[in-house]
Amino acid sequence: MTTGSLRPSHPLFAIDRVAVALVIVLIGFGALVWLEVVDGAFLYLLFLLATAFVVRTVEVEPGAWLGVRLVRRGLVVVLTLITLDLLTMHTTDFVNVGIALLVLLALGDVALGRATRRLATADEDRIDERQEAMRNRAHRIAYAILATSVGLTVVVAEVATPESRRWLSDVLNGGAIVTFIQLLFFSPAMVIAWIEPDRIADEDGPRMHRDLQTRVAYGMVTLAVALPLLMSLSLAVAPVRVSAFTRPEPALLSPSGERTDPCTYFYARAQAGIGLGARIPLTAVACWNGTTAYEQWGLNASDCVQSVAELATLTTIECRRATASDGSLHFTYRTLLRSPILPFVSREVVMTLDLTKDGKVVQFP
Amino acid sequence: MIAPRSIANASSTRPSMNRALVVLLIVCWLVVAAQLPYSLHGAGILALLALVGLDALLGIMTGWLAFQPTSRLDERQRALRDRAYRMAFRLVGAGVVLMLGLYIVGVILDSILNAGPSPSTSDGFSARTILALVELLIITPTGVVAWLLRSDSEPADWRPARWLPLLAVPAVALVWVAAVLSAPMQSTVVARTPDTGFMMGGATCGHFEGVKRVAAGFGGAARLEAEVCWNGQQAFAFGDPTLPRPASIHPEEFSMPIPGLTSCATLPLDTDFGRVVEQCTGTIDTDGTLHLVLRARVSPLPGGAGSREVQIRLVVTRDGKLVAFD
Repeated sequence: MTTGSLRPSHPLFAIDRVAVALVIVLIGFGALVWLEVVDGAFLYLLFLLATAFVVRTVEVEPGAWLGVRLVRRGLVVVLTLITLDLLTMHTTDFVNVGIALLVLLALGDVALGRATRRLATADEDRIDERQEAMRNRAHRIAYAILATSVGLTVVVAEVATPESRRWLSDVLNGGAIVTFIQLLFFSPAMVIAWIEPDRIADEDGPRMHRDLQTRVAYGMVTLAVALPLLMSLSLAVAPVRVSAFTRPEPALLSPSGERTDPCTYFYARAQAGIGLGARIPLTAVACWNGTTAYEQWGLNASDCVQSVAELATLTTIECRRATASDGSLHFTYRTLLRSPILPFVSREVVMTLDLTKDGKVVQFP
Repeated sequence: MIAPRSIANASSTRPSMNRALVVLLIVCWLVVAAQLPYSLHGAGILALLALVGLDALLGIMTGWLAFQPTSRLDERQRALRDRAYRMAFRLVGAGVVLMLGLYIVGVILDSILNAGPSPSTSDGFSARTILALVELLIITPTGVVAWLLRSDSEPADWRPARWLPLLAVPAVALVWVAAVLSAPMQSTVVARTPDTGFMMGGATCGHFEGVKRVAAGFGGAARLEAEVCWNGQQAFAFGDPTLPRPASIHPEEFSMPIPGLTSCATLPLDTDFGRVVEQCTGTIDTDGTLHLVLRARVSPLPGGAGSREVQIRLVVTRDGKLVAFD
């Protein structure tokens, strides 16, 4: 039996390059759509991609610890547990604790790449025949794991009961996508880490040189890990940025020809945290008639759900409108922002509108 | 190590035949995965059987190399198989990304061609998507092996036993017929009250979504979407002027149709594996309670044989109490 070229060249339109291009187009498309709302997260994502690119160009050696099979297997077990945890995570949990797990997973994958010298994705000319055979075998085993776990889970969940369909739909909005990506991109490396025997120092290839490129790569990895922590701390430390304005609403004539009560349009936006935080808007029209001040629109419970959280959890503590005995209008919108990475870091943001019965703005926002 | 004859004979197939089968398989897969045309109008089972037939043919042509245990392969075959799996791994990744891209294109085209918001019952994948995903996972390594195999001078093996796997086609057809005729229907209902995305002066509204699937969606599905409002006097479905108008609402306010808000119509993917005819009837009784009933006939088999009657009932009182939704 003869086969076609078993050692293909690297054409411009190789399948892996096309796949990577498609992924970049999709991420770019999504990022453009969300750019308006999640600029900090978008910039961090860009930095992560740049870090991955730079790290990818640096040669790695596993070192004494990761050269030991037992340690590598321990790493694989930890990665598997995190992956399974993400699979069962629903949307709300994913927002709350998923980010911390994601950071752990990313760190584990960096260690995995180091432990296996990124053999799973290395260019053909960088590996010998033994390594290629092992890599191909690892892909076969990883394929069986991927096809069985993904195929069986999806088919059983879809066909079994309506509840299992809803479960699938729910986890797809949560951490299941991360699980799938982990399996798709890292399971061959996990299998290599598992099956490769203990490595003797300097057995395969020269010792890594700590040149400038390597130092930059390590610096970027450190920064990539530290940035979420710094952004979390900014939630508590950085001042809340508030922008606000008011303008009189044009007077209208009622059907009977009388002028309606004077009203004012209120707009405010509070922004807490840097890169990680939330934008809390308050938009409303309130009027007065000398006897009482009242809301026309924008000061209801349904208006306290317009905030946009960015890699943070946001809880509405208070959303209350009241008219005092002197006819003045009071509205309080109080939210609590919490970092999902450092849950003990939080910030309370309060927006207030106090309007007297004769149209005087006592407090806003 | 000596390879079994079935595998050795796999190389006797002319490469053009193997590659033609692979190309045909890709075309069939794209039809299923691309969601274009929007609906297969009951022909989904033909696509499924075509894929199963092509899978069996490719398996026969390659001697089922991708599924053989290592002990039955010689070194070269093992190398070919493992390499095929590595390439298949990347192809599966590319295939899933392609499915996602095609899904986005489908959604954009759908919103352009079918004006108005689409119904949004989110309860998992469509049957067509499941089929595309499972097919991708099962056959990609075999497809790669078939593509890589080159010819030699050995004659093809035409013994009848070699073609037995093709019996999978009638077997799958039989299982499908049994499922669409006897499997219990699956029902999903979602009630969102109050509906924060829709407001009406002097009334409170809720959104109700219901879908019933035959054979887990592999036999078609009936679907109901309703925006039901209530004002203390009456409950009524809003957005479809053909449904009864409540006396407490001004005719002009009620006459405006809002596509997709209240709809007795299937999604295109609901009719991939079965033809579906739906009809809605609504009444508002003297208590002001709304009774909305969807009746549908789902016909997975040609000529209406084995049709199943589907009914979804929605009852909401004038003060918004949900009495029945099943």
